[in-house]
Amino acid sequence: MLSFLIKRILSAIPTLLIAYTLVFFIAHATPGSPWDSGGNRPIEPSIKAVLDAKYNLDKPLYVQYTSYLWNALRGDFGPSYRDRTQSVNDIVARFLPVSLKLGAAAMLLAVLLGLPLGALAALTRHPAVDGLIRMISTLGISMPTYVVTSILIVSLGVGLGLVPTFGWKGLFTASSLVPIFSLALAPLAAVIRCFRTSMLEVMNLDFVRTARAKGMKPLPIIIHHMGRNALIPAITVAGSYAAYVLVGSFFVESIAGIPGFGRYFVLAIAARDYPVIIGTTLIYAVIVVVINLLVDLSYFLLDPRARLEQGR
Amino acid sequence: MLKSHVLKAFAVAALFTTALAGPVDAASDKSAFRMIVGEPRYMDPNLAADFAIYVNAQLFQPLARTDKDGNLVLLQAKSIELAPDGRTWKIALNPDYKWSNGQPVTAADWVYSWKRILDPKTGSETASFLSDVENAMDYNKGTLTDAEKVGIKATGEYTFEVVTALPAPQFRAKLALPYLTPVPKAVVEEFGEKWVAPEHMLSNGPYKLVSRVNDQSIVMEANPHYGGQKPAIPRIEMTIASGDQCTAQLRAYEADEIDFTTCVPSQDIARIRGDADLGKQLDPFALAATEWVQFDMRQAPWNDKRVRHALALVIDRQAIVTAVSDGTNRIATTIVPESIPGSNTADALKGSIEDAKKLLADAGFPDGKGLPQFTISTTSTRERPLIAQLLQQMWADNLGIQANINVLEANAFRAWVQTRKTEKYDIMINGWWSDYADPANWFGDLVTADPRQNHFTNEAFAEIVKKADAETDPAKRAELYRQANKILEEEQPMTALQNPTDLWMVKPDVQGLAHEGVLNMYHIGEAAFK
Repeated sequence: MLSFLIKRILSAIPTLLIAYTLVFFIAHATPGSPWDSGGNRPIEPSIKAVLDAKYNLDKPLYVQYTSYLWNALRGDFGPSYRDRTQSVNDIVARFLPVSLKLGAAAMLLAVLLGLPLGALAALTRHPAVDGLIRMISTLGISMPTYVVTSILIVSLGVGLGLVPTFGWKGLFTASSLVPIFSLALAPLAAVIRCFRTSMLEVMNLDFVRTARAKGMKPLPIIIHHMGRNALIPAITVAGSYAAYVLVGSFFVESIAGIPGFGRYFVLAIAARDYPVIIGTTLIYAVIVVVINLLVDLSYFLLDPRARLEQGR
Repeated sequence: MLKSHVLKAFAVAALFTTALAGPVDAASDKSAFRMIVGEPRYMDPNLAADFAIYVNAQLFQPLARTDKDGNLVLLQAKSIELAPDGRTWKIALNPDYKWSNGQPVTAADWVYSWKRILDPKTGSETASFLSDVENAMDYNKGTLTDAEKVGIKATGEYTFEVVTALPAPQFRAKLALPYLTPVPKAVVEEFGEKWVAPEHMLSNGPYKLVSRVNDQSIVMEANPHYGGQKPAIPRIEMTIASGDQCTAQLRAYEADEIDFTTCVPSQDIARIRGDADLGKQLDPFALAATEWVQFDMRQAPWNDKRVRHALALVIDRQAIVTAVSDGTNRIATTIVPESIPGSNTADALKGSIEDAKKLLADAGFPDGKGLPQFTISTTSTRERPLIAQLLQQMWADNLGIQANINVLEANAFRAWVQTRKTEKYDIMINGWWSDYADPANWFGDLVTADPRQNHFTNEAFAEIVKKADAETDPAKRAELYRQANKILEEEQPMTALQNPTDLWMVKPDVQGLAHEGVLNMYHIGEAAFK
């Protein structure tokens, strides 16, 4: 297992390097400069030159490429051009936790609701229950988050006045309801579908029938024998959603007014805020790598065969 | 049996979700004025050039305001006098106005602030507002390094002078610009760019900054040392939006979470106007601004006046105004808006669709034949792509000519426009918002300085504008600008489409929130709850 871990961590290095290289050159190749995003009036070319010099944008691209990389390796992701009083590190420290909290709550909701609902859909003989659950999962997968968020705000906020239409007051307030549910819907749907399918698959396998024949109670069978085996595909799916839910969705955060990482990332692109674009992409990449690693590690805990294969 | 266990698990999960969500917030009390604004790019008044000036205007105050007739209404200044040389503006400050910590706002603060705007190291877009000042642009461009040579000087603790390079009558209006405020010299020098943090910032206006969380909130409270009328509303709570602010504002307004919106999404205008209650809360304000379609005057066939006239004559402006604003914007037949001296709607181009067809045929393109396919370029914001589609349709239907549409993201469009200085294009949609109510802001800053890359060069026009800029007699000056206006409309390098209207909505319990100046500023310090 240790050698597996080391191998995976080493293989993450070229992945991150490729991500950095791509985002660096794409960001710089996008038309428009950080100094074009102000108001009505074009800025004097001489002033642009001063600003370029201040932020080393007058240096050749390869020099910028290596110096940014060197600083990033030492943990300094540079200044923000959009807001000159902040560094990228400040921005990550301020915005990432908001997205992480919302994303974690959404993933928790998706898993806690998705597993029982998926199991219920697989085990029930009632077509209406199965149909209802399948409808939820189809809606969740097919409805884009910006539609879900807008519908929830207009109905619950503007219409019923149950939740605020906009803004962020903290995780344990009504202001987090709409974003959590919007974020949770897609992973919830995926977990339901996946868990339902794999529960159906294991339902009639020999070891389940043996357990039943031994006279075990239904719930321990579902949890220990069926659930544990059916969990692996569901965890893979949840893991792939976790990476995208945890770093925050631009749509959900913009529409619901959440000062999160996803929203800031897209605003940075609009403002051509190169250090922020690159820094946030790198952090995003690290999160994806780490979550994939965690998903793979979870196989060891759940599936004895994975442990065996690795042991050989 | 099995089902009941699963159902129990489900119920627990549902309970957990509810507990996680917590209670709904109670509505805040009416001591605070609540609104949604965009994230100010700069809280530093020396740098703020976009909508951040509306946020900053609650904190920082200029010397004066201009009223509807162009007269100065003094605020921080006790007197503003122009010396007989026509170039030296002598400004005496009102010592009653103090920084939010009680220290006096001195001439040194004003001089420091304006020179900081011009300092190339500051990199401020607002430097162009001081371009009339002696040696200002040389200093700004870096060709002059001695800041002492710039024509802004303190002459006493509460008096300072501004000397313009030439007699510049329009500088009177600029003295009232919200961009030209003081900054607290000592604080800026001590904390550098971080001086705008709530714990350091001092302001000279009705409010002071209490807290700011980036991309989340801005809170202001009444400045106890403010020298003017003390605000009746003690606190302002701003929530920060990004992206589609108009939609966020309207939703929050309808849910009674905010007291004021500054815009209404175009798709909601008809519904709001039709609603008995909301319709009454709508507060429209006609802006001194114009949106137009412009031609690359250096390129054939656009350098042929007959082609420009033909394209202009077949535009149905009413259809555009209806489509983009439910008819709340006004039709613009000339570039310079009616409220700006020198404008004259009688100069508008006149003719029928038949005339247009004939003009196009005369130019060598009968029924549009032979006119190469061209591109209309536009930014993706402000309903401009829709305007481009309407123009494309009108030109195809009436003249039989085919246009492509090139929509660019806002920042990319701005950069693209700047590169049109040397590169060619066909047609683009653009606009201009008055910064100050003076014809120089249109004929000079827009047409002559050509930041929109229209490339209109006309000797007679240039001559008249140059003369008008330096003319100190207001009547003669207006007459000169009227002559220039006639040439501008006859040549038609730009074809005016519409004058935008700002649609505010104000809750019925708020009174005294007035539209101020050509920039349509709001001053919460002058409003009150009923």
